[in-house]
Amino acid sequence: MRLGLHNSVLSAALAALGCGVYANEVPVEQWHLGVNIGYGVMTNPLHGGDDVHLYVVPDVAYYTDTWYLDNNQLGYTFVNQDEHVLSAITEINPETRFFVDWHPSSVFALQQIDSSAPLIAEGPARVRVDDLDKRHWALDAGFEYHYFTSIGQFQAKALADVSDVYRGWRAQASWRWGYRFEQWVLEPNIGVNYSSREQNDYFYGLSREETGGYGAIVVGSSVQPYAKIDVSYLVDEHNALRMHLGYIDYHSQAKASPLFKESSSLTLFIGVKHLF
Amino acid sequence: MMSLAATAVIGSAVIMTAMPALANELLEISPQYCVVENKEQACTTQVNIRWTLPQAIPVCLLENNRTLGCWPAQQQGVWQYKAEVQLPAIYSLTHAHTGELVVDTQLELQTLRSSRRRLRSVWSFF
Repeated sequence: MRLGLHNSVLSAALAALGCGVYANEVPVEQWHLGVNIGYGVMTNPLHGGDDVHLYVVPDVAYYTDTWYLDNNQLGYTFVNQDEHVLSAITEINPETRFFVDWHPSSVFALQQIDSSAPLIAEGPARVRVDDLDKRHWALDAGFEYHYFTSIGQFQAKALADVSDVYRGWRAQASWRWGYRFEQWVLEPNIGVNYSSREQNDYFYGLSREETGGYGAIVVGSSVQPYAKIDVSYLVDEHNALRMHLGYIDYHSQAKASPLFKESSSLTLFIGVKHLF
Repeated sequence: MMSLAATAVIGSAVIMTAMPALANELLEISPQYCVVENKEQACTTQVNIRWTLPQAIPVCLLENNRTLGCWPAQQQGVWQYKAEVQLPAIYSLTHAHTGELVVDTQLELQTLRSSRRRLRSVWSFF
C-alpha cells in the first residue's frame, strides 16, 4: 500500500504506534508518550507466584540521533545505517517480574523435580517458598544489533549483569515482521532467549540454605524460545485497538528447577492504545 | 502534532547526467528535491522535465518503472505533470524501441523533521 498525502494521518499514527516496518519511526528529540489501557494477564509459571495483571501499559520513548530511551532500555547507537544498527544498551533484567508477587505459603516437593543435582534425601524433600531468599532486580548492560530487511528485522543482543545481583549474562535473538492491510497492523515476533548458568541458578535455583540442607539445586544454562504477535486496528491519529499474545517456553528451566509449576508463560492483552 | 500535509519542493533545475550510451545527453528535473514530513509520505508536486540528446532518437520517459510517455525521434523534449510518488524516484529516458537506458536522474527526498527507526516494542519486557 502506497502512502499519499491523503493518508498521511494514517502514516503518522502508524509511526507513532511503532507498528509495521514501513512506518516504524519516531521523530528525534521529541517524547513519544502512549498508553495501552485494557485488560491483560501474564501467567506466572512459578509455584506461588501470582499472575501479572495488566491494566495500564505505558509506552514511552525518546530518541536523539545517538541516545535513546525506549521502554525500559537506555541505548547509545554508534552505528546507524539503513540496514545495520548497533547500540550499547542497558536495561532492567526482566526475570524478576515473576518474583514480584511471590508470596505463597504452600510447599512443594523437591522429589518431583528432575534436577541435574541429585538430592540426598530419604523422604520427600519439601521447600517452603516463604523461606526462600528474595530475588532482586538486576541491571544489565551489553550490545544490541539490528539488521533491517524488506521482510522484517533481525535483532540480537547480549547483556551481562552490572549490578552484582546474579553475576551472569543473557542473550536474545529474534525476528520481527510487520504486515499492514488498510487499518490493520500485524506484527509477529519469534525469537529465543539464552540464560547463562549464573542467571538461571540465581533466579530459579536453590541454595543449600533454601533447601534446608538437602543441597543446592543448580539449573544450568538454558534457552527459551518465544513467539509473540501484536495486532492493532488504527482508529484515528491517536487511538488504536490493540491485542497482544505472547508465549515463552520455560521447558528447560522447569525440568531442572522445583520452583516451576508450569513450563511456559502466556501473555494476553486486549485494549486500546492512546497516543498523547 | 504538526500538520502532516506539508510538502515542499526545493531547488531549481539541476542537471544530472548518468548514462553512458550517448555522450552529452542531458536530463533536467525541477525540482530536484521534494520535502515531506516523514520518509513514508509520498511527494506530490508539479515536476518539470526537459531533456536534450546529441541525436534524434525515439525515447520513453519513465518514473521508476512506470512509463510516463513516449516520443518519436527528436533531440529535445519537455514533459510536465503532477507527480505523486514515493521517494526517492528515478526518472529515466530509455530508447523507445530497444529499451536501452539513455540517461536518468533522481528526485530526492528531504524530510522536515529527522526521525529514527524505533528499536524496541512496548511488549519487550513481557
